Amino acid sequence: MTASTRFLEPFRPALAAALATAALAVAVLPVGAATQSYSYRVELAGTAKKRHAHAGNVDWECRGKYCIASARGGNVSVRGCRELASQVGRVVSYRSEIKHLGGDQIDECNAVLASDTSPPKGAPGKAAGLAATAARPDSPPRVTTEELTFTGVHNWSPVK
Amino acid sequence: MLGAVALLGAVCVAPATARAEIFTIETPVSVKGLPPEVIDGAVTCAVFTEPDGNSSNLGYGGFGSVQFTVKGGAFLGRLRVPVQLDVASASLLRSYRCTLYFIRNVGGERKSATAARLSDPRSPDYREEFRRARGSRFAGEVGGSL
Repeated sequence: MTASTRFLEPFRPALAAALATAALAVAVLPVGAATQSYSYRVELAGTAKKRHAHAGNVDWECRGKYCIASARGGNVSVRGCRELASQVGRVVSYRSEIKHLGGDQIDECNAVLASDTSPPKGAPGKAAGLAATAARPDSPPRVTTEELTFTGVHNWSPVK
Repeated sequence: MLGAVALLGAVCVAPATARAEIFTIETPVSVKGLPPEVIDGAVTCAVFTEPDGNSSNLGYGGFGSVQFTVKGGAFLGRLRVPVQLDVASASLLRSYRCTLYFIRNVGGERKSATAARLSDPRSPDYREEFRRARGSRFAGEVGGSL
C-alpha cells in the first residue's frame, strides 16, 4: 500500500461495497458524463468531527482526516465544500476524480468556519482573536503583507 | 515588497517557533465604494510548508480569518490575522496567501465571496455593483514567501 492510498484503509469495507455498486451500475447502465459516478475525496485539517455527513446532496463517510463519497457528474462546488466543512471541520483539499477546488475556493469554503468564530462586530481590526494573540507571553512570529485593496464605484454621503 | 516580507518572516519566525501555535499575519486593508449590501468584510490567510504552496496549495500548514465591519461602503485599517498552525512549528512554513472577502446581506442571509470573484467581469460570480473604479488599483489576494 502506498502512502497516497494509506488513507483509504479505514474505508476498505465501504469502498468494497461502493466498487461493487459501481461495477453493477457500469454493467447495467449506459455510461454518460452526467450519469457516471465518481469518487470524491476530501482531506481535512484535523480529525473529522463526525463520521457521517450529508453535504452537497451527497452522503459522506469520514474517518480521521479524510472524507469520501460517491456521486454523479464529478463536479465540485464551494457550496458543497462549505456544507461539509461546517459539519466536519476545516477542509484542506476537495476533489473528485476529475475536478478539484482551487486554493481560493478552499479558502472561501473554510470562511464558513471563520464566520462561526467571528469576533464581535463594531471592533474593526481589534478582534477577540487579536487580543488573545497579544496576551501570549511569548510573542508569536509575525509577518506583514502587501495591502489588500478595492475601490468600487458607489458614492456614499459622508457619515454623520 | 515580497522580499521584505520574506526577510521579516525569516527573522521573526526562526528564533521563536519551537512552541508557536499561532502565526500572526498583519495585512493592511483599504476598501471603499462598496455597494450598500456589503455589511462586513473578511481576510483569510493560509500558510504552507511548500515554497510555492501559496499558488499550488501544497503543504497546507494552517488557516486563520478575521472579519471587519464595513461602514459607509468603506474600511481602512490593519488587520492581524491569527493563523492556527496545523504543523508542529512555524519554522516549517515557507509561504502564505491572504484573500479579501466581502460579506453581503442578501435577503437577511449572509453571503460571502472573494473580492476578486465579485469584481472580475470574467468571473461567473461577477456582479455589476462590484465593478472597480476606473484606474484604481486592485489587490484581492496577496501572497509570498516566508
